[in-house]
Amino acid sequence: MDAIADRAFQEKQHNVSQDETPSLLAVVIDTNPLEWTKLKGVICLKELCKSVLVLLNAHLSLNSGNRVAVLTSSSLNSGPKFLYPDPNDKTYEKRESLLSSDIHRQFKFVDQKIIQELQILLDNEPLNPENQELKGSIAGAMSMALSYINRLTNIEPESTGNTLRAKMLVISISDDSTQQYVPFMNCIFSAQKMKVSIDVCKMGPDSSFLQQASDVTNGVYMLIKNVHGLIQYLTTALFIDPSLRPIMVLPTNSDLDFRASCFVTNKVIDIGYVCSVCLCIFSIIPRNNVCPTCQSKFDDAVVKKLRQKPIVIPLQKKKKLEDGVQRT
Amino acid sequence: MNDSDDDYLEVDEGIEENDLSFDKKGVARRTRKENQKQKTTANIALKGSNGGYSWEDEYHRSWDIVQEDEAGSLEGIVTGIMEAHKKRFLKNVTPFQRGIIRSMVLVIDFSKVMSEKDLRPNRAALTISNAIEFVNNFFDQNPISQLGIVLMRNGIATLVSEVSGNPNNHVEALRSIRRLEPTGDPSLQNAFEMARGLLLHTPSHSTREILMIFGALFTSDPGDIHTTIDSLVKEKIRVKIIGLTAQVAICKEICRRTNYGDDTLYAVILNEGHFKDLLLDAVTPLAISKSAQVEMRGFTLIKAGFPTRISEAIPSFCACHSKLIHGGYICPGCKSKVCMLPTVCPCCNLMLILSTHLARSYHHLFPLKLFQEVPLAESYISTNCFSCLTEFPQGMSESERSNSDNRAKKEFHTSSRYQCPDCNKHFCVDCDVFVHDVLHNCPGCGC
Repeated sequence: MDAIADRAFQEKQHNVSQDETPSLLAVVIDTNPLEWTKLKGVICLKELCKSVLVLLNAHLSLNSGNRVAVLTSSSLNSGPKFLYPDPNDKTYEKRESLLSSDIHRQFKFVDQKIIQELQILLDNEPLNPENQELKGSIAGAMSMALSYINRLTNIEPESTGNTLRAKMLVISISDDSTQQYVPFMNCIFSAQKMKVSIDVCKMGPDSSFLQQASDVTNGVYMLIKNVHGLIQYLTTALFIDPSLRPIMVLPTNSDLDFRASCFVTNKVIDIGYVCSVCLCIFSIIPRNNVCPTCQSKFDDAVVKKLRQKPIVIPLQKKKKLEDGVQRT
Repeated sequence: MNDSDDDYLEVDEGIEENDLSFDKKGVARRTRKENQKQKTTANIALKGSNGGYSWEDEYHRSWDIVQEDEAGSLEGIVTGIMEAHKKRFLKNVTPFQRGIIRSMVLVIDFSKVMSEKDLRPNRAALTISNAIEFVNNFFDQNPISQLGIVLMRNGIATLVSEVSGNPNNHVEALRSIRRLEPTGDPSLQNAFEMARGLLLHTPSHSTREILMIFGALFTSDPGDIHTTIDSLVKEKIRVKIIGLTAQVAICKEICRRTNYGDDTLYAVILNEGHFKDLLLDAVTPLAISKSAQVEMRGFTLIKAGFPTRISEAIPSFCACHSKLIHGGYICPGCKSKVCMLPTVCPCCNLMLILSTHLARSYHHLFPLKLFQEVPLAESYISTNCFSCLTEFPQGMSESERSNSDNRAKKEFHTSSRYQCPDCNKHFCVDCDVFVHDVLHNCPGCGC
């Protein structure tokens, strides 16, 4: 990667092997109902939930100080939401236990909460989704997760003295939405600044935004083809502790498409023009020499220069000296 | 030192400010001035709480400001400090047209005065460590910009690192000058002339800026500095100066003339924290002023290439440094390999950037709206911060609030809730600071 992106992660960590700092795992689950219907027959939310619970329990069992947070991204009824921890812990009524009573207490507490909250979320979904607008997005949920990570890793240690590392796992099934580009990028850069790596578990279509997210933050991006092995993926490739990252070879792809897309024609381009005011990218010089996004007027002389086509200058005939007489 | 401050100018206009050699005479003038006008011409802003100059005030120790409340808790004062920190962000958020692509020369005073120990451990050491931080911040927020560093030492200007877009080189160069001893006099003119030379070749779409950290109160110049100022104005180079000692009239004039009559870019530090804040301000791109826009014929369009990254099993040479490296980026114009971005293709002169570099600057262009403090009420719609789940203090009635137990506690004088004007969600002060300082997204709006 480039110099800027690398700097945050290349600082050498000492005593990596003895490091026992607990870590926080924030999981963002894409719950876009419209996208889940597209995956019908491949995987359902229930199966995903099962695998995620295994992952969370595994994370909690590694270190007694480890913590988890689970968020849902979007639904027709409510926007990004925390499944665990629950802010309204005091008011919630005890439901019938869905889990076996033999389970480890810490696991039980987390698992039950997540299942219940997810059930409430699904119960509140309207039955006929027409005319309903989807609320929330992955970027919103990631912003929330980052604020929560910021509280636990930067603000609370000031008073308690307990340090915590953090990583984020995004389980996404939906396609990229260009509207979300700016908030998404802001999330990626703040994660990079906070040294939070973003791992991505992707099902369905490939996502270039999430690929960039994991690339910039030194995370792992996995497009999962075989959903039956989901547990395996989650507990191996996507389960590398932040303290182990510097010494592991990450299973990620390094051939990444960084090409930008044109704001006007939406074509992916190699060489383009950038407005110096709003940094929009164009594949063609915009009409009337006015930026379509920020309405800035471009300098005519500069545009004229850019419009110039390369000219092939005709080869000049070699001047020959024949019998002392110069021929032209 | 010479007295080239504001008060002095008001009495004796027409005398050259960079006239150094009349120390004795200067003292005499100052006395005369005091007789004539007493303190009537003194700047009101300099007045302290007792009506005199602020330096005549009683000295407040930092540990005297912190006082325990009746219950012996420091919580009240801590919230107060947090709120004060938050105030820093209550700045202008109206979107401006800004010069996002910048070329800047950082000029650092390294003359004898920089070895003074009024800043810990001394001025030079603190300046260098702040400058390193500044370089990192600058490239973090302005990835497609260029920076160069110049040192003022022994009456001449010394080039520390060439104008380039690679933060590592600058940080290395700054680390290497840590070993140097600050000596000699500073020369504003020499420094500006060198900076001018460095900025001469910057393309028209880029801003030209000089950021100077100036510790001395004088300058020893080989010629007339006003001609240098004239050429700076002509070449549209904008100068920001951070003074470490006191205000110097010539610095103020330079800032005023190079910034279209706006002298707010000249500031003198109050303490170490303020020094950092002033440097941090310089990280944000300058807004393009109205008068500058009128002069311009229009904005420029930049041709840029978005290269693809390759990974190789066998290393090959890069076109930029001629080093053997694994992988790199392929210029879409001429298919040569470069090892680091952003850069200008050494082969075909095409500007090579990644779309992520552009995205880093977007938050300057679309700033997040400020959150408003929720007024005190008996009950609130929220119990927890929307994004980090911190519990808010509960609302209470007027009678409860005036209860003697609660009156002293500061937390009952604010609602501790901050509301996003778009999504109306409530946030705690920590999240408010984080969201505006780092994230630049409102988690509630979700987009």
